[in-house]
Amino acid sequence: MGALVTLAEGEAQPRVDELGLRDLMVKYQAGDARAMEELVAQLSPRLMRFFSGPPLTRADAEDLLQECWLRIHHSRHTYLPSEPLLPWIFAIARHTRLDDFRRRQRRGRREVLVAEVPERAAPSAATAGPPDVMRLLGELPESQREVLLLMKVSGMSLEEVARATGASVGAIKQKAHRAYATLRKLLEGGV
Amino acid sequence: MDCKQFDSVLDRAPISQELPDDARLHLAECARCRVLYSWLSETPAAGVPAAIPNRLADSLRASLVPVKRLPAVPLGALRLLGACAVILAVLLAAMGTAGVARMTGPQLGIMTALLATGAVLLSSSLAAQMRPGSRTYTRSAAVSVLLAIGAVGGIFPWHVSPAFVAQGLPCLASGILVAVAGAVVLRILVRRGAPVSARSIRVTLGAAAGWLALITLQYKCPHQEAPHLLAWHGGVLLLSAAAGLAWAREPRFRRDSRAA
Repeated sequence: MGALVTLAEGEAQPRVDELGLRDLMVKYQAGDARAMEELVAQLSPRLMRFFSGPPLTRADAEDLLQECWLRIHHSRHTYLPSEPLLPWIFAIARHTRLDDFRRRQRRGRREVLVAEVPERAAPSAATAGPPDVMRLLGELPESQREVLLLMKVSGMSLEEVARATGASVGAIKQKAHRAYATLRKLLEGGV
Repeated sequence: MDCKQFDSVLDRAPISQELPDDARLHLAECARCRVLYSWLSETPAAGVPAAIPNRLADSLRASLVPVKRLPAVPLGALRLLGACAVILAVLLAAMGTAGVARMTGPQLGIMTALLATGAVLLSSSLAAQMRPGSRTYTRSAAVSVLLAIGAVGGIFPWHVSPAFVAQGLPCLASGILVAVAGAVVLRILVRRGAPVSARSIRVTLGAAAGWLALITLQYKCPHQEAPHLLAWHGGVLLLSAAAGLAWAREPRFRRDSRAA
């Protein structure tokens, strides 16, 4: 089945796991249930990492994971075997997250009108510890957080993130570098 | 190596265990980069209980059928362009080409080139947006639209006719009709796509339908003056794109991916 997967013109040699994933996706498109199960098992941890972190709870992340797989399922005919799979998957995941973010914002605006926003509890001494990846990511602006989530948490390259977000490689690099600068400050401040 | 240069090393994903020598030297000297590097090197726990992928797979299995793939973006764009060309040919045959006779050679050449470029970019953008993770060409399409508007201001005479409104209203009305017909045809052609952003594809679809109307009006309208072209012909494009924006809602994904 590996012969089914070909590289796009000018595409760099993909990682071994990427080729395996493409092969599974092609079989999934052909209606192979075992390939679908394998793909869900292999990609769900990466997607879960992408959906995790503030302000989402674990239950929220699981809901997003389920919604994302439904979208992937209904969009699977749009994947081309000659294209990299991860940008295709994470473009869908990114918009699943964005749509949820917008829904939360709308809901938040409505709720502020009728209720006081409770003050956030200060972290207690018991919870203070070494900087946690997800907690620190929560301190970044959404666009920078998204780029770092895709690059460092989901393990995508600059080019793959650019494809997934529809931005240029230069723009992604700029956001990543701004995020590094912010993180340096946060880490120095001992957040 | 300084901190900015070290950022370029961090751009690699996943971060390699083997850092270049100068990067390792920098890490030894710079505490801030050392902390950042060790933080980024941590891989957060995946944390997906086995039950979740199993449950997900169970829910997808019920509707698992072989699917027919969408064509590649260039072929999809060609189909959209072909459909628009057929509509345009039919419309111009019915409405006439009085505008062609009223334009000078350079005006005709420049406008044809700009209108064709816009059509190619808009159809490429539509075809690309049908597929997640594709380059969308929206900026290039927007630039070509702006260039065409700028060209109209530069190459057509700035003469306001006394019958400005009387001449413009029929153009606006027929332009809107063409845009509506174009939007219906384009909507049918893009229905199999899985756009990740409903707003973006609907604005692009509105703009593409408006562009089709603009091309029709450019070749059929005898009033080739800049104010008329910008206000009435450009107005159709603006209205059409605005209608696409108003139509935009939350993304909806087809529940019935077409079986092969």
